[in-house]
Amino acid sequence: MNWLRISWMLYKINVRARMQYRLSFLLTTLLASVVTVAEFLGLAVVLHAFGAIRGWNVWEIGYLYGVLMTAKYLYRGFGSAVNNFEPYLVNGQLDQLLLRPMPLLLSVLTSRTRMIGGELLQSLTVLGVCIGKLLGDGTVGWTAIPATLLIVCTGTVIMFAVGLATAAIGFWTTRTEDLSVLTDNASTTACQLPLSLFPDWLRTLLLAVIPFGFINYVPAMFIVKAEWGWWTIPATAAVAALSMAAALGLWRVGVRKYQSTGT
Amino acid sequence: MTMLQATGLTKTFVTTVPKEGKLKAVRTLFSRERKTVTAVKSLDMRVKEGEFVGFIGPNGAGKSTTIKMLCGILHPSAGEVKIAGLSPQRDRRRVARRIGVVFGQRSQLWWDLPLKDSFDILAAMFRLGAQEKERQLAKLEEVLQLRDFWDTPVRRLSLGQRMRGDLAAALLHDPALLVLDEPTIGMDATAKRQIRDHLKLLNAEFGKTVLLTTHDMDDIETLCERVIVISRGEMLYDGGLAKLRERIGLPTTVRVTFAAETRLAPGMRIGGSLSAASEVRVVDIQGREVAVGCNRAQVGVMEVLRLLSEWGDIADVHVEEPDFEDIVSRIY
Repeated sequence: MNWLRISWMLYKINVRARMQYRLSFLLTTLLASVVTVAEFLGLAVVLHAFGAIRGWNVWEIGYLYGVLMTAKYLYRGFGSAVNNFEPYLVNGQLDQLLLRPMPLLLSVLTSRTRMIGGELLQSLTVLGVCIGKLLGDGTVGWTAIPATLLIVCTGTVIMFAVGLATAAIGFWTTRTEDLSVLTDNASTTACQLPLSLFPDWLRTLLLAVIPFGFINYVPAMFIVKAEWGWWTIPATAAVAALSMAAALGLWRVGVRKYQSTGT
Repeated sequence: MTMLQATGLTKTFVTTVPKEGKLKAVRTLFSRERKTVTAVKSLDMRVKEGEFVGFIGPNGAGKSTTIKMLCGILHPSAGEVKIAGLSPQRDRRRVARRIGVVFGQRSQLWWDLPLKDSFDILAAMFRLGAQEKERQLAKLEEVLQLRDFWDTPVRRLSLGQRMRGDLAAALLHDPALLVLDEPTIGMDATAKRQIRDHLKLLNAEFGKTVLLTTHDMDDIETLCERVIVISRGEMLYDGGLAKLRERIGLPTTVRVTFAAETRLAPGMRIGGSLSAASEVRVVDIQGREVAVGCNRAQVGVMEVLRLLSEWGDIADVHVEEPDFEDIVSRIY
């Protein structure tokens, strides 16, 4: 695949360009991992104090957290440009990308790279430890591992689709930062906990509008809790595919509305 | 052969009217009040292969919007564009291979990397083989002399060097059409002259079709055989440079300082015997300083001074040729 080769080349270029400012890179990486650790510690302390929340113990909630964060950082890693799309619209950075003979979305994705090694390690550790514990006490069987890998993938796709839709709305509104606080940050924070804790309207929102509930809660109801049937897995995959298709559609329409900027 | 053709090209932007007062951000967001701005109004233009066309107009005339529609960045609200027979909107990626675009205020080079790395990336993107790339670079080296500074990170290049780099980047895939948006902006006289020489060579020796927007009249005079003038999104003139000059004449402002205040008033015509084309009119008065406008193609400065001296003793004289684009937009 030629485009794959070029994407890889652009990725390496971005990393090299980033390395021109080594200190800044080290600082951001360090800060980011400290933030992730602090975030999880906060959650763990609360859980430890309460023991369990509505039938979800620490390890089960840790599983939800691990799946969500792994999906989030995978998305942030390769979809960093989509996640920070506002400058492309405000500064007209998209102009140059539209002049390349590449599919536009690929140009956008390869125009910016965020290195997420540190954060990914954090979330994978949490996920690994929790699965280990759940396997140990017999809550889940070995099939949970391939199932978890699968939902990390579908979760990343859902994250990406929501990010892309948010970015595409920017073609109409130009500003996307505030919207992305809602669709990305707030939804992610909410989904760190089981959806059953929330009022109906919020649960509906997180299942039907911004389907982050399908990243971890819905499949975990089968994989971890075994309360729902196997259908949750194909349903999750279907939601991922549908969200992606809808986001791509919105993006395609949005590009035609691109206004660029004056000089 | 027609390289570029635009028919009925129109672009309107819809913007929300900003609200004033309390909570203006929120109210603007939900406002139904919209304003439609027409940036380009049914523009027709045609550029033949090998031409060097200047595309000029005052700020906000719609030049950049037009250029962006021509390259496929913006989608026209109406009308269509054909670049070598292809629509830049429907066939964006194929058109991208046929045109090279340079925006003077924005670089497509990778800021933190040496210039030659940018060429490597672009070569891969445009699928040039190693041989083809070397051949293109050798050709560009002849015209643009890049090797002296191509190991330097782009952010450390001078403006002139960076522009040569950007030109090379736009030409690497050997496009037939070169679209340049203010390529000499911000440069000193020497760098400007160099870039002009390069552009001339690209057109004359390599047969590139060039469409150039600029605010610099010298660019136009040294390079373009044909100019297209737009203002407020509409075509005002399309034709040779000499004929445009003839039509505009040589509008000139003569500022004189009288020894004492005169009875001249703004808007007054002096030298009543002169015909309408050669009228001399007072445009501005500030105390003893009086500015009059005239067309130097019709009436000489000496004649103007003779007419003015009938109103008082002249202490000082200053003759200025106003900005070309000002004139263009005023005349039409």
